[in-house]
Amino acid sequence: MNGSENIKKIVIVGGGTAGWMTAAGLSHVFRANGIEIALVESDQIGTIGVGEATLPHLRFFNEHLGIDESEFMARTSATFKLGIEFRDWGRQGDAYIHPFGEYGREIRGIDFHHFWLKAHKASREGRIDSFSLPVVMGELAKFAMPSADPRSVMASYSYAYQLDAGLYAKFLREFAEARGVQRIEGKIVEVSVRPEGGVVDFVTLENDRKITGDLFIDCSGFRGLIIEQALKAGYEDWSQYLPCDRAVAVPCEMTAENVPYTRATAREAGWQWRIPLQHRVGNGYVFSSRFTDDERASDILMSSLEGAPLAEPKFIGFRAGKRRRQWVGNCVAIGLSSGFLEPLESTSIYLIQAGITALAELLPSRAMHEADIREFNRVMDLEYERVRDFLILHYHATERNDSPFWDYVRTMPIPESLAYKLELFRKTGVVVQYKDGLFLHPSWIAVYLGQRVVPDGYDPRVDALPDEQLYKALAEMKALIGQTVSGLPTHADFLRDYCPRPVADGVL
Amino acid sequence: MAPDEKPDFLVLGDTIEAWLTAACLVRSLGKSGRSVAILPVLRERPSPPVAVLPPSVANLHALLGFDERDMLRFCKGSFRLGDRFEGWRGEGSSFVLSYGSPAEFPGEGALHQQGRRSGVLEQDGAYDTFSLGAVLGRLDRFAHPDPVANQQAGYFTYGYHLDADKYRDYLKRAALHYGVRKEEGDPMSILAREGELAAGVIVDATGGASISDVLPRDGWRADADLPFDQFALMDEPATSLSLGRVSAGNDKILFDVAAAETGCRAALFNASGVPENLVGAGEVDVFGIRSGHRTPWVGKCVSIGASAFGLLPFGDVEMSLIVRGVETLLELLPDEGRLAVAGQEYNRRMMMAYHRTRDVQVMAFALAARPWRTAEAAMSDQNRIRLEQFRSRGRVVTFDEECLAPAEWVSFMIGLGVVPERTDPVAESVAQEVAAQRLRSVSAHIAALAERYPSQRDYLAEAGVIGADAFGGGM
Repeated sequence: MNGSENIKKIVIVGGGTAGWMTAAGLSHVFRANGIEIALVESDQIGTIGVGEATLPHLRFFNEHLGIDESEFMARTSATFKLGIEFRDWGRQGDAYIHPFGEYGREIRGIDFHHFWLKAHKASREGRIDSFSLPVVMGELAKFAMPSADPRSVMASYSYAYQLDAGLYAKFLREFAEARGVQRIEGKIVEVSVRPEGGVVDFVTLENDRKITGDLFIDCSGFRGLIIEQALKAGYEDWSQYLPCDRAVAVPCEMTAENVPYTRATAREAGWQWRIPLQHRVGNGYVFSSRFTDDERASDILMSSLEGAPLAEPKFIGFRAGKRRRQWVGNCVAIGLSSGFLEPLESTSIYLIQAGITALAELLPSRAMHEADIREFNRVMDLEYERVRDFLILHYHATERNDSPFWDYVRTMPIPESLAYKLELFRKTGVVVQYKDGLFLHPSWIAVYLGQRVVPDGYDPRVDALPDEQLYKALAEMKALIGQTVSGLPTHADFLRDYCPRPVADGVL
Repeated sequence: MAPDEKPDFLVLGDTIEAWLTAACLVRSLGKSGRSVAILPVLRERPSPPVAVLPPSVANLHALLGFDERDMLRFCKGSFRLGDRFEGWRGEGSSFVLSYGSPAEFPGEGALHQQGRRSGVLEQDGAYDTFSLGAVLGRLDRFAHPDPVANQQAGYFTYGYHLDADKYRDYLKRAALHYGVRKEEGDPMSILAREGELAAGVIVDATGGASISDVLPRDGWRADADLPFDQFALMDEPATSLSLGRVSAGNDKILFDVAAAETGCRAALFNASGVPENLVGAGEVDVFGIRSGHRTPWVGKCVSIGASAFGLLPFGDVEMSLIVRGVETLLELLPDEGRLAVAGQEYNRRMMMAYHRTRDVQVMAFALAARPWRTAEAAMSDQNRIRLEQFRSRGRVVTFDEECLAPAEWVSFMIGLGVVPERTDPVAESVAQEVAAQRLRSVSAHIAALAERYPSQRDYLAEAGVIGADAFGGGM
């Protein structure tokens, strides 16, 4: 920026995953710019601890910060994640894994799934999953690092983590404080906004201490202490598409060998997550209060735990949607204060990261240019809307009619943007592609096919490849994946070698 | 395919886009049992003698199995590195819009951000010195890119300048070789056999010939807010083999481009104020520019190239849209039951591609230091966001179906005189003198590297392109 216009002080309101990720990210990127960063949090206020399951983008966030992966994983009790298994979504009894990787390899510039479709329709091939290395690895509970050589089948996937979000926030707090971020303990009791509106001068703590800043980042969670309560950003409610509005969560003991994927099992009024960490399993049931109640939800969750519960079940209320404006005046909302989309595809931490990235790219001067604000809000609106469509797909693309909840989501009106994507895939097998979408081709293909949205036809160019060549190529691909995976270590062994959880941390 | 059998695809036209489409269709469909025919209806408007091909054409050439050297020899071609814009910021100014990207320094902010701090963006043409493609273009030098050796210099890529008639012949040979059936006879009777369209799908690649008016589709919609509506074509001796030259004057634009043995000039002007030097030329034929578009896919008819989209004829815009159109058609090949939805998606993508390509021309007119009329409505929302962000803080915003890569947008806007008002704070994390030294070093490295490249003329001679007889057997 230009000398005196530069931001001098950033105040982050709220700790937790969003607050400390923001503090770590900004303190690293702007470490040489002389910007003072303070984070205000109160030990009296608990954190939600969003998403213990993540997307591969988090790897790049950590790498950018220079974080040692094995240390980070050990300290957050993390496991590797190759995808998400969806059970009972298309029909009861169905199961598929949405992998972080490709299906097969394109042939003659044509997407692989078209070739698979032809073979499948001729009853020559079963599941497309057999052509995904991360799916086969996941099903056999194997893990190894991807290869950097693009010619290798081991380069066909990526991975993320399943971690203890509380420990991750703690880990990042150390990182950020070591880079000069000042933590201020205290509960905010007042937000002082200039009379003309839009600009926050300071926040006041319970002990009357006033914290001033040029830029305030609201990481206060659902309540949106600054962005909503003080600045009235407004909220866009998407509950007509995503009717789940409550969750009940509880950790339990681990009883089985650690698998490198998260599980989302459809239930009568929502879905249940299972996230295996090194030392315990995170569980939760996301449900709609229109179709069930807390007691029933809790019963379903507790009765389906694989091990002994390690805490009392905890309820959380939410409303799907996003702030109408995520940046107002000199306040930017990041994390749950900016909006909420249920963690069905582990997007909570991703959306935090997207907010941090957009803010770093658009870090304002003290003058708070409207151009920066407009652009941030445009970029984040796009992020939220595209994730929203992908989540809705999981509910809407179902044949389930065994409960009022599934009747509702199966027949509900959906956004035009999603209806268009579904129609195009059903008729042509073509996946709508956007430059800025979070979920790429393989993700859409995984959910479409996994939930029985099978195209009527396939790319006509596929027929140019003689059948015998096609079936030979498919057989070779499948065999290569099978042979490759058979030689890999188990996920549990890999974790023990690479990032064992410190014994000293002992308990949960 | 039997001579009177109805083909699955009938391509209308004798243009580059017609033969390219037919060849790519038949090559993609191979032995799938689907057939392709072409009805080579003559183009009624003149086509420039030099075809200007963007780098994106490489995928289609690969599909057709083209050997680059053979193609260049046959088509008397040269390697295209971009365009040199002259006079857009005022008399004597110039900058190069080349394919590729300058060097990057992760964690230190983009190179143009450091350039802003060091004050080099205000200097006419100075930003070119950070781009190997631009420097080579100015020197008219060329050798194939070596991404490993040139890492510190960023990267460049290339398209082609080809003799248009020869390129069309080359495509025609490929199409016929791979099995396209050439229809003979009266076009009207072939088009409508027994009261029905004569093919499963008809591709209008006539370049806007009147015969295509019989096709059932919607009309042409003029986008009449670009400043020029007339053009004339003239022979012009080659100046640079590597770069097109887009020269701006108050009353016209001149686009000069040269292949190995052919050069031409397109003069763009306004009917209400014909430039004096053109009036004097006397024998020059003048044509109206059909600026605008039609819905490219309606029912069973797909329009590709000038039949679908009209932009001002300079740079590689026309061929860029043709390549995009063919690629998109191949991906969405219509089949029984998917015609309507494939058409809908084709239109969605191609209309975006048209508007993003048009954004490039509109941006140039909006920013030029010339008294040109550009309607306010011509600036799309995307262009407004792009310009606002770059002008405000040097941030590059791109959208779906862009014509230019992000680094190319940076070169373009800087070349047109947009200097960001602020520097990205990330760039300020590096001391100014360190950044300035880095810029000098990059510039010097590129200048020294470029000196080691041969002249394009020598390179083409070495490859047998210049001075060679016709080839054409290498596909």
